[in-house]
Amino acid sequence: MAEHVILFAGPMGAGKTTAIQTLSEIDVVLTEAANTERDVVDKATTTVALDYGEIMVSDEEKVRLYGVPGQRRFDFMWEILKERAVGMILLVNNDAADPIALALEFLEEFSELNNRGGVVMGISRSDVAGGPSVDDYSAAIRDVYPELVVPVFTVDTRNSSQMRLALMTLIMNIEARSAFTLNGSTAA
Amino acid sequence: MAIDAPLLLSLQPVGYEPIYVDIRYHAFEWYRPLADFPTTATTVLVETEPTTNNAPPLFELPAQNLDNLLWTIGLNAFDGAPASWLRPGDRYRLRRWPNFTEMDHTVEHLQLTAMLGQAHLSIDELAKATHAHHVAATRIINAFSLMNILDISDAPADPTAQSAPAPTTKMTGLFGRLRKRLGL
Repeated sequence: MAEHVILFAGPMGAGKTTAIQTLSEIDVVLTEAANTERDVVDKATTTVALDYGEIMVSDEEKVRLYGVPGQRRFDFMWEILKERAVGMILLVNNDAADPIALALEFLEEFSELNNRGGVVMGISRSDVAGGPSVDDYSAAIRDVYPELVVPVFTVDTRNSSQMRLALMTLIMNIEARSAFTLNGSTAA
Repeated sequence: MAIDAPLLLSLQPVGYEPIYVDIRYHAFEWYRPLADFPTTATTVLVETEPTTNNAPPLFELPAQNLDNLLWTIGLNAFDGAPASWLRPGDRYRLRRWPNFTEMDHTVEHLQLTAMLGQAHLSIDELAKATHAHHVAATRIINAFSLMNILDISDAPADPTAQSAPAPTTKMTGLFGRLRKRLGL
């Protein structure tokens, strides 16, 4: 069976588990435990290993959706998963402390995926007061990665059409990037 | 085409209430939903008024993102011909993605936008690379140009670098299969 692994990464509280629940066609496998960092994000539980969901494309092809824990002490999980992944939806909650710096940290950590067009960024909780704009994120990413145009969208991770947009954009961007790479050209 | 000066605008399609635009905040206000915007308006009254950076906003903020209005106007203006400010021979590359979660869009728009993010392309090259109709490629270039999210190059395509991409296999990759599966 053909499989395509998509990661959902980002800081704790960005909505990774919810995003996978929104997209998955199976009951999502959750590995939640009590959140011991309620001073950072005020929620009762947090992912400690992996969240897992699936979308069946056909009888012989599926998209596997993995949510990786947001805290850096679990970053050994990131190494395992990013080798198998074709792309990543990076979620950042706009009310986090310095969310742009967080976004750039994750992009650096997953730079192999980013370099092949395999990252879409979703800004959650953008409806809360303050916080950077989508343009602010795009400009900051462009400063660091001038050759890459990372799609950045505001998202409500509970909204299926918005999460499908993020997923479809990710796949389209990878395929467009691949078309250029296969043709022996680089971004002009 | 981009306007950087502090400026207030009023756009009034005949038969509709004015749309107020405050360039400083990249925002607009209209008490109708944007879906009501007349896409075939023949006459639009445009008024401009200079302002200063310190003057209060024209309306209560946050209002609607100006990108959403510019996207609608850009897609529908010029009846599918290139916008009057576009120059023949220019090639375009996306500088940032539009926030499509806030904009009406089609799957074809995603394809065209993704391709524009990879390299500088002329309208012809963009249409060929995506198997899109030339008019569809022109409309999206008009819109992105109006939104000022394109980098423009007048350099011709480099034949040795094959900078025009190999044609993508339209809708037969994972994107196409997933689109079909999700009913998009």
